[in-house]
Amino acid sequence: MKFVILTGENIKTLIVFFLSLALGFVVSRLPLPGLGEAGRITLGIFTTAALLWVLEPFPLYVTSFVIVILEVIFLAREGGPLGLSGNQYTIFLNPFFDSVVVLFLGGFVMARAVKRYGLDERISRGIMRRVGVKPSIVLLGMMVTTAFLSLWISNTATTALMVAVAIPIIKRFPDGEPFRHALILGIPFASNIGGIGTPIGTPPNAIAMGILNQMHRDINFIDWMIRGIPVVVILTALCWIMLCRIFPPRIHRIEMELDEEEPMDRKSKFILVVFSLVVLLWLTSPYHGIPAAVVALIPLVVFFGLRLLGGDDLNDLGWGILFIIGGGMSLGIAMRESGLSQWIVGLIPFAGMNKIAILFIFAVAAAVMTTFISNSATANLLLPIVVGVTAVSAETSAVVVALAASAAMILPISTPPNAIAYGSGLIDVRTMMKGGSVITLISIVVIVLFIYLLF
Amino acid sequence: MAHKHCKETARLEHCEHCGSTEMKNNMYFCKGENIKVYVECAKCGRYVTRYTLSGYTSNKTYESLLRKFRFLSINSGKRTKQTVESFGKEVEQEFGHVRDLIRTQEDERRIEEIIETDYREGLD
Repeated sequence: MKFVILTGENIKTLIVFFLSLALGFVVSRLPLPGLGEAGRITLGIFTTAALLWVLEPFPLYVTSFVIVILEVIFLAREGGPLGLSGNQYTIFLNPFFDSVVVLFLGGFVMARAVKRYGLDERISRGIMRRVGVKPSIVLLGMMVTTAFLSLWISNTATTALMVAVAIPIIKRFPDGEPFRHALILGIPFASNIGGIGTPIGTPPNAIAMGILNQMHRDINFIDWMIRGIPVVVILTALCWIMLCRIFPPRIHRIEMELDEEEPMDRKSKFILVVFSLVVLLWLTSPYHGIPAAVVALIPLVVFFGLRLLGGDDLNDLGWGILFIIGGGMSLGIAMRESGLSQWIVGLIPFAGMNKIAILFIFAVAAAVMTTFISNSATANLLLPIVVGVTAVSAETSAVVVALAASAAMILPISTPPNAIAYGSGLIDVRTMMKGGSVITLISIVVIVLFIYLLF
Repeated sequence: MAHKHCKETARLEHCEHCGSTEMKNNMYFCKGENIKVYVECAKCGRYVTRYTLSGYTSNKTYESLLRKFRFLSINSGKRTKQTVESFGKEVEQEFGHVRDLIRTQEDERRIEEIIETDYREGLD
């Protein structure tokens, strides 16, 4: 069989890849005052990573491996600028099995079991059966269901499920009814917002936790939820109000036909019990002392051990996302060890600036970046820098940036949930921008004020 | 399908007993397991083969894609948008291409032979 590597697409990939490497090399040779050799090399790696994450010549996780290769060859070699020797280069590999990566893996396994046995569908239909006939309440029901599911399941999977539930409902509205836009936009927006609530909700949360853990500024599962859940509740409510105002319903009643609820089988009940137990153990981690990452291994052992999940499920877990988190944390180590983070922070005139102003700058930067590139890439590039700013605590900066990285509501390319909703053909880019820009602005204000005032 | 860079071939399913190409797909669903399709000869009613599904794309391609997205872990909005925009067209094009292949240059080998020769991992 003839295997052709140099297809048109791959040639484009190679050109972008080598140009990114070349630009990174040029940046690493610039005589930047105050930045040592290790810092300059890391700046070159950072530049290459940023270009690859923005231009996406290949899947985002490939960039994570490029980062590690460059770090080990140029920074961690014997006699290299970081002064590492022997197998000390593994500091750049360790993040790929860091405790937050294991935590996320456990979350993926639980989500997989929930989806495989249709529990997510059961929950969504269960809630939608009880929301009545008033259009605005139907929208609220959809958004609450979406936000709740995306606390535990990926934002993309939640959106795909809920759009499938919503389409038959939306089609019952007459053509030209503005509220159709609210219904289809409410799902990706609630999904992006819901991901904020738990450490396993979306990758930026895990990246923030990982970087803080590396700095020995531990933030545990319950700590995250104390910050995240109120933001989810406030933003979901505000988003619902805004969508109802921007796209007001003209009709007052919508009939929904949802299938009758079937009794739950034993396997589904068992999965629900394990799921609840794991969440309980996560929330009570400070009391029983079992680290959240170790608790995350329980669903792996139980679901795969009892063959409730099989080899296909293992292959299809979100390994790529785990590698993106690992790559970001590996880049964070290089930026800290080489002094690059401090050097970049030193360039920005933070002295004398109000704390809240600094947090607004971070949140706006994250929201702007995440509008055009993935939220994980945004977190990977911004978090190592913001945690170095001494005017604000590292925890506060990291949480604000991680949460704001989910405020990606403006364009279809901003997040996979937006792209899925856009793909329904029920909204155009202008409509998404109209609703999304308002929600993004509200998100930035709520995130900064809530985290600043209460933590 | 100019983007395909593999050795491609196509073959219509035949009943081993009566040679008919008319088939009925009996689909079997068991929660927690992959969906299985038991193919029955529409002419003589005998068992022909069993497929284990890893995906299902109906003519309602957007709905099929939504099901697919429920089990995929993706992180790029750009790539998701590209997939959403091109998926339906790609499936239609592939369908037309495979039908043309069968009409013009159908592989004469038995399906087991094609799988064992070219796709060893394809048998379950």
